[in-house]
Amino acid sequence: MPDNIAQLIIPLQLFLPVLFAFGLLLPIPALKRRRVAWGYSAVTSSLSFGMSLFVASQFDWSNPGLQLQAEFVWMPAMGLEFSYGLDGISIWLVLLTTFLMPVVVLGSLIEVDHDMRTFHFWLHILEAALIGTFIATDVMMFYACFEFTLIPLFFLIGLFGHANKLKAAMTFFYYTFTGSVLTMAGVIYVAWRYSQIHDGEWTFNIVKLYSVAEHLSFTEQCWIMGAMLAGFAVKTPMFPFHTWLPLAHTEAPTAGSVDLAGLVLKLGPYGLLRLAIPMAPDAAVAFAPYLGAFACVGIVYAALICWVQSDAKKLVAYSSVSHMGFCIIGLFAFDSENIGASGAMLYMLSHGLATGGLFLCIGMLYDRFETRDLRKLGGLATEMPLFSFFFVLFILASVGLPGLNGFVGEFLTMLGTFNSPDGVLGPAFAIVAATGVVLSAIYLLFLTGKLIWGQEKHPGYSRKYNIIAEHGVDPSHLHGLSRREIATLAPLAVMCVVLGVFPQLVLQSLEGDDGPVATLLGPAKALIEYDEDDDASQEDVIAERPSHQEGLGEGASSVDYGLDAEILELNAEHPLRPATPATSPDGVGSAHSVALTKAGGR
Amino acid sequence: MNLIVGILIPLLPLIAAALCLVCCWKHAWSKASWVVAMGGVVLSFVVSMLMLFGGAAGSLSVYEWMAVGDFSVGVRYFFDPLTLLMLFVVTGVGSLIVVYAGGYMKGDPGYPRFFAAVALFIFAMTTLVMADSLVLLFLGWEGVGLCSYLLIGHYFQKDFAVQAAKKAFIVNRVGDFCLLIGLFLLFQEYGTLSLHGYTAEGGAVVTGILEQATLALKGTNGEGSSAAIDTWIPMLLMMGAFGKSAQFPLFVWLPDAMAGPTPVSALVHAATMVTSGVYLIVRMLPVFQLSPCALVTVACVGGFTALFAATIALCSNDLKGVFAYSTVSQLGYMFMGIGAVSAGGAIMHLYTHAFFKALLFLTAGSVMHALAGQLDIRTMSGLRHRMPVTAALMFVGCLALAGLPVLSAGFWSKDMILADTMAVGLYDWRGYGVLYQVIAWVGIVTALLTAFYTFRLWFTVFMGEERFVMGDEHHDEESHDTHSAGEVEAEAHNSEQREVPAHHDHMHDAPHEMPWWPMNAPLVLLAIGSTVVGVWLFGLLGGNEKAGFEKMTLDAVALVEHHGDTGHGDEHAPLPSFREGPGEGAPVASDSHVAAPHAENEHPPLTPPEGRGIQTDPHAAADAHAGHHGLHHATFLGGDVHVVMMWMSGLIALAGIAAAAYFHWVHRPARDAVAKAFAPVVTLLRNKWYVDEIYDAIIVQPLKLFGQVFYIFDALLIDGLVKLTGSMPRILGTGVKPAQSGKMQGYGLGMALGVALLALIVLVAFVKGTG
Repeated sequence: MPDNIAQLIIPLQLFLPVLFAFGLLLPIPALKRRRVAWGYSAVTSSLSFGMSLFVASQFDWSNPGLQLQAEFVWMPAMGLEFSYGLDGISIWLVLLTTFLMPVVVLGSLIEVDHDMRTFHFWLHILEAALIGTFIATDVMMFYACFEFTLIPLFFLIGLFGHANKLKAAMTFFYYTFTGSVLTMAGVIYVAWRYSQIHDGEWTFNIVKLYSVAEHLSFTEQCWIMGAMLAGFAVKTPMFPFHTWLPLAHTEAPTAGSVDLAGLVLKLGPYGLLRLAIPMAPDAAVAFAPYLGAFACVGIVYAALICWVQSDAKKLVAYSSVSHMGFCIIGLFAFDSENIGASGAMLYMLSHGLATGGLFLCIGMLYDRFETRDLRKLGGLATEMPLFSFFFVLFILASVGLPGLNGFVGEFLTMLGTFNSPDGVLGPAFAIVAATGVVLSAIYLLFLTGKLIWGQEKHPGYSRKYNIIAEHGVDPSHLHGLSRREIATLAPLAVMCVVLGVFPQLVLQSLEGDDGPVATLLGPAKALIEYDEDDDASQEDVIAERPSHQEGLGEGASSVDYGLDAEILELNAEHPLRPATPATSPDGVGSAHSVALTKAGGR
Repeated sequence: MNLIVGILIPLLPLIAAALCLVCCWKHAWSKASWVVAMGGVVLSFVVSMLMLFGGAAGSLSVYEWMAVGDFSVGVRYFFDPLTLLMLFVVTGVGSLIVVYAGGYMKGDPGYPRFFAAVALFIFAMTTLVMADSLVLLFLGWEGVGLCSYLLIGHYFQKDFAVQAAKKAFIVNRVGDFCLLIGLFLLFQEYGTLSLHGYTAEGGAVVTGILEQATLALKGTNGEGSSAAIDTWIPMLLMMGAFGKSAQFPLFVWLPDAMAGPTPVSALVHAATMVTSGVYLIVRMLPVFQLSPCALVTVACVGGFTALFAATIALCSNDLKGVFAYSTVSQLGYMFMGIGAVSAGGAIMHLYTHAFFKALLFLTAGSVMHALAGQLDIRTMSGLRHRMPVTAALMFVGCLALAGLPVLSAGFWSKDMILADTMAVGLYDWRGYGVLYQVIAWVGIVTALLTAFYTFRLWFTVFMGEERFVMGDEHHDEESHDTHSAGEVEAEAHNSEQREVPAHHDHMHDAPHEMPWWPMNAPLVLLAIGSTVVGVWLFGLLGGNEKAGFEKMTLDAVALVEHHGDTGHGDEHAPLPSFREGPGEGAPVASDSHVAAPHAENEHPPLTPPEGRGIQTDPHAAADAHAGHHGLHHATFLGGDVHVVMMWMSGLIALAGIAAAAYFHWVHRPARDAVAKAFAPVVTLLRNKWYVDEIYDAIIVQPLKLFGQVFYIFDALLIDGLVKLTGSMPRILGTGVKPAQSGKMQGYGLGMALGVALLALIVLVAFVKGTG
């Protein structure tokens, strides 16, 4: 395929959903009928998925760096351009997005009882916004798409949600919007610094902006990191900024919940890895213990809350808070082999599949019984054995049973955290996180015990469901599920097994010395001393790196936080490492003994 | 023999499990599930035996499971005598139990579901014992936990079964948590999670954990490393093993696990899964020996659990409950054995226990089946006339559990452990001599209790005048009901349902003997394995060549004595090492020192009839009576320790049986008198030392309270947030219209105070409500 056409497949991937979305608005009377609108949406979202498979086929998997790139200059004076590309991380997120969409469409036939067209319109727009965020290599486009995801979600929740939908939509919107405005400020600051350094030349290209990091003082980096966190930590969501999530989930329609948990939450860790860590590496390393601590607290805290829920959906929503804690500790582990961060990226995909599956299952129950109250439901294995099979499978994937997808990510994030260098994260964090393994078993089996096992108990099929079933539209006769519902859950279940048995499919496009994860973490990891004797290449990097201090008039001083005797000893063992005189400008990090050489301070 | 065949061992049961799941789809197919599962497991057994007798050794790499940087986990299997022996137990006993279950589970609506889980279990268990990477082992480890969860909860309409299943999984997860941390530490310390060395794809040679640990152990002259991490690792692995193998303090799940169908109790909760902790420690023995105190801790916990569980079994009136606690107790023996570096004794007991405990559970299942689910032994008496075959079979099993001298399998293995423990104690290994001696005495006392409670049960149920009360809720009966209620459309198959075998029809009339096929026939094989024939077979399986299992356990045991010194630690003892590298098969010579040729005139009066090459190899003969750690010169009560202990445990077993016969058969009123005299003790034991209640009060309830408090806190955060976002436009508005600002602020303040007050009330009400 010629290069110029290859460059176009990504924008096509982006605009296809938009096109399909507006297709729904065409003045064709047939589209007003719910079945037609639904069918249209099912076909178009599948086409988008097909498109993403085509994109994946064009992707050079043997060298998963940034590729298929192109840029279209928009306002050269302001450095504004439309640029995109894919690497081993974003291709998987695009695939996840397009994969989940048809599933979600299939799953929301019954629940949406009005304005089917509007619903699917916003669903397609959301898909486009998510794809846009993942393919962006330009910070403006990233930010625009990142923010734009709020609008379709706002309408999906606000128009099609449950009792408290308006309150939930508003809360969700305000909370995440406020956060991401700060992120914008941080991004613009970085771009402004770039223009300062490059004589007024502006750019918003993400890769180019990485180079600013070495010119930023530690204080500046802390502010930038803080600003980024305001947007991304809220989105992830990280304890204690998670409170919007349970509310949004419980009030959102099933499709909204699946997209929210499966995709929108992924913007948080993705943004942290793509923007925050490379743009403020010093701050990332310095903040790591605190972020790790919050993540660990969140894992335990949310898990315990899950245990006392009586609303199934709220339980799963809180479980997302607990699970995303693993992503954060993995990302900030900075272990020498990138085990943690690779695991975190894999974990995002796994969580999207397993939690998405659980939300869909609970949506199916709500379709039938119009309740999610664990006190009113029970013993569904008798009447809905096939449903129970899928449900238990997703539960087990969520619990992290080896052989299913959840385990690999969880194991790798914890292993990475455990092997994190001194002063970043470490065994203590991994041990606290690992209690999440026990707690997740407690609350998820509690949920299974209530819903699936026990004496059969439910308030009877709802009128809406009966009407639909009676008309033969969606008969439920295959062991408690309709064909449509099987088609909804089966792909997710298959992927859970496939990624559990062959996680290398994903991992090999992430890891490696020049893989995408290593590239993005490089600047931050260069600040850390790894006490592995055999890792000579790593030490070379450390030895060579003070070079980027030049160009800053204030004199290059290396700073070491919390220097203590142990570290001095450690350094003595490694003649390759530069000497590390100790002065700490902000006192940040003095509480924890960070064995890192901070360069580029001023 | 081409190792690639080995892949079939886990694969066949996995395929069978998938097919059984498919059988769930249509009711008409469900009967096929038994045949499918049986086919999978039996074929897996056949392949295992082909590999065992083909002398398979070495590692088999299938594919790379996960790899990041220098962390790599391959799906790689490793075959050595220990693995092959475990495979024999898992697939062999598994096959017999699957055959039996075909009869036992007949008419159950969850028939295909049951066999799917059993086949999946065999897959996970074979993976566990074949895994060369600890992460793959962990897959099997969690997999058997899952199957245990699904099988305990098989009768999911019963609340008790659901709770028991959940408890089993969660308590196991607590152990797994420790195991997981142990794996992280292992990776940090050894740089790999592979047990044995292998050559990676790129040509890099990875040294396995076991090789590294053995080397390190050599470096310390067998004294163990003083580094804290070398003790932390085995301690954490040990907790994992204690969770899976139901040792104190994580044993609480196993007795409840009896809520599952009886074949499951036999297969999962007696013969195989619960022994995986024993397997883990035996497998990791060099790592455990590297710590100066890990093994003695294992022995202490094992000894304590053995006694503790035996006391509970003493007073239990639940047919399966007695056997459940006896399983906990026997597992304690195995850990005692490992703790005394008698890996061979532990594995031998694992092997014999698999036979006789499976036999006991299945015969108990037959009794339960015949009595329509009755489990209370107080209602049973003199059933020998009605169920002669079952009575005889259970008698054989009871003899093995009690340890009848010479003729029973349990005697040889238990004696091996007791004698080895005492020998290590007398030798004062690593300075823990007194402790080991105490443990050995505890083991002897436990042996007495074991013989007593075993025959208490058998005499009560089968002897005396005939008396029985039929149970009211047999699972078969219940399942008929739920079936007709659950699947209305399956009317076509109802007729099929009614033609259940004859023995179902007069279920409520009187107990009856089980049919030979498929139920009693496999039991006979188990019974044969529970006798001295089983011990002979063990020798055949383990010692068919010089590099067999016997050899291997000796190699794994880096004990002290070599040239007959009874004195303290010979510091220069050359440490035996594992066979190096996969597939080499050539044992390292150094271990020939472990067992010195001192055996000539010391043959004990009771020579184990094991085919361990006694006739051909004087060294091996020495091992045979010297126990599995090569210690055989300690003098105990004026004789060789192994001989004395053999006599002692034999007599103890006879004494226990005799006492049981007196109290529970010959003179039953005496039993009641004794029970009355010790009423408080009996109450304490009947309530299982209140361990469940204590755990609930100090762990479960506080955690739950935390959850509730956190939830209220979280709700406050949300509420505050909503108020904040809701008032945002107003606050913005006040900027535009300053006239209203004062009023708005007052309003907002009042609202905030109101919310706080309300929250406080809710909190108080909630805490009161839950507390």
